[in-house]
Amino acid sequence: MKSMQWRERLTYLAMSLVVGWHSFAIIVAPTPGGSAMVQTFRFLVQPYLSLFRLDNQWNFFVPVGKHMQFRYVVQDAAGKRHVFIPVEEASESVPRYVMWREFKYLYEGVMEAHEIRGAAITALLCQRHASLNPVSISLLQVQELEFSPEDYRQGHRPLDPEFVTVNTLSNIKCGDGSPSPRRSRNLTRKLLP
Amino acid sequence: MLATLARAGRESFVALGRAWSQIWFQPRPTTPLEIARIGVGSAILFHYGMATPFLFVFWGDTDWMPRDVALMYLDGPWMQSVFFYFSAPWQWIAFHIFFLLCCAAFVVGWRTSWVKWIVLVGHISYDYRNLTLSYGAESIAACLLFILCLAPVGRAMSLDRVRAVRAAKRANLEATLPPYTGPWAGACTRLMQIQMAVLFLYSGIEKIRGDEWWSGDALWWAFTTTEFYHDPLLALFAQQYWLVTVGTYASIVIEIAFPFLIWQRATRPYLLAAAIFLHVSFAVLLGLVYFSFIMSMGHMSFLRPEWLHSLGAWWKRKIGDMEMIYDGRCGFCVRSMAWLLAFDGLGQIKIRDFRTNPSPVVSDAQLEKALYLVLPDSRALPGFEAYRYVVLRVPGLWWQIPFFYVPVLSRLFGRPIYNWVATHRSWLFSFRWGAPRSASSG
Repeated sequence: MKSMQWRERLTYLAMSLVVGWHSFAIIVAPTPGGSAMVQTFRFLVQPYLSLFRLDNQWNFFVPVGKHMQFRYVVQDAAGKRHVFIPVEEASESVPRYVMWREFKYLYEGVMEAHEIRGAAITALLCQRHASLNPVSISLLQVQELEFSPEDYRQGHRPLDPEFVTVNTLSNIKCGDGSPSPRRSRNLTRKLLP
Repeated sequence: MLATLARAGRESFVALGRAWSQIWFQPRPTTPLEIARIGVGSAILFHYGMATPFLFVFWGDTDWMPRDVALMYLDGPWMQSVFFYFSAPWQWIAFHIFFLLCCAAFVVGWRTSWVKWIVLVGHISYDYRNLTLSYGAESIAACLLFILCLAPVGRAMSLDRVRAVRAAKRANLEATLPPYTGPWAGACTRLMQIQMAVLFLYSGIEKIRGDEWWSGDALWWAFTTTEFYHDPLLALFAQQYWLVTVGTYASIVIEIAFPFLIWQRATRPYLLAAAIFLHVSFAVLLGLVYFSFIMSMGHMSFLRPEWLHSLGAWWKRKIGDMEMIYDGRCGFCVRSMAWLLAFDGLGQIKIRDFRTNPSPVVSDAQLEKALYLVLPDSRALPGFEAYRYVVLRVPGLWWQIPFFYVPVLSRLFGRPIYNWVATHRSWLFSFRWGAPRSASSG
């Protein structure tokens, strides 16, 4: 009887510790880490948050910002330039249509870390477009600019040339693209939903 | 004086303990968590199922995200993925198939107590293997999955429950298994509620810290980006810009109000409806279907058990009584009834063994040939038609609708199959269970 009581008490204590700890961790996770106290708390809960993928800022659409689009240009042996806009290519299957956003983020990941990943991605694309006899590939970033309701009323659209800037991220010859990534811990992680 | 202080301290401690118990450990059914399980599980199954053709593109070592690049995005040894330990392509494929099967088992609630952990490990593994793909949907799915892993899910709306009820009914068809309730189910429901409230609170706070949201232009900015571009809506907004301002501020108001007003009995329905509305809008207008669906499933933790109970009672009243008359001497019939009744979570079907309790509506001669269903207006449906009627009206059997309601084909094949099974039921029983033949010839 007594051992039963103790078992109940211990179970209650264990349950209380679990709910208390988890609540504490999920509240600490998104808290801005400016103060020493938050940093101490974060140090305590970080392994738990990382292990179970609970480390989130919950800053959806902050900032909404302007987005960017990934493009690349394949230059063939004859000097002709073939422009590819992967996210605008027609989906050849239902899964490809459903995974549209994942592909977009995959390409954005390349733009965000183009110094590290550019060479490897170029090598990959050279293989993919072997039928074009590629000589070099340029990775481009199309950065959207401000677009007002007035612009829309005047018949413009956000991706019209005057509302974007095109940055050439890299121009690498096919055959030069050996992947040699440097380790970096400061890569941007997307948290937009 | 000291004694008074000690007593006051003790009373405060007891009151605090009582409040703590009341917040966390009220015995509750798992039903809201089961709805979240089915919803989150279905979304994950669909998502990763659709990703199957791109398994190596997204998570492979030789495509867009080689292992050494993937490792650069990770911060510390606690971020782990099973994919980091694979070397041969068949291992990716085997794990993916195993993971999808576990997701399916998680949705239907089969062996839930362990498959839920595999779903969590798998989801985290995919996520950490390629963090560039990760966005809000993956984050919230991981958080909800983790709570579902802690929770005693699988005790309702699941095959595990069906198996438990069936086991009880095999001994006695009239036996009932009380619905599961427990303090730990209450605690896990509360954890999920806190998760959703924290998410909304931080999301709201972060928004009001940004200029785009303060100025009331955020919706415009969102819809002009390539990711969320929506031409008809932009045309409307460009003419009626006040809609952008109202929409932007309404989003903030809902997100800030949610964590404060969702707890009160009077305001919960409105806040819940507002949050669901917000996510339906995200799904329809921004195309964030996966994210919105998972978020909505998280909100299911706020469903009060009494709401679900009332909904069940309403459905039961609306459908009316159904009495199934079976042959109690036929072992195959009894086992089939145990299976059928195990899916009847609302207890809509009443049963009658015509051998011990003859029916005033259907004759014994008719019942020798087939099972019958008697409706409140005294209509009697035989065999296949009885099952067909029940399948549409018992929520636990809805998964069988595709088999029973294919135009023409269901009746064309269903009736002969039923009749064959009914006439061979004694043989089937002896064949399957090795039991002696029953007295009924069928």
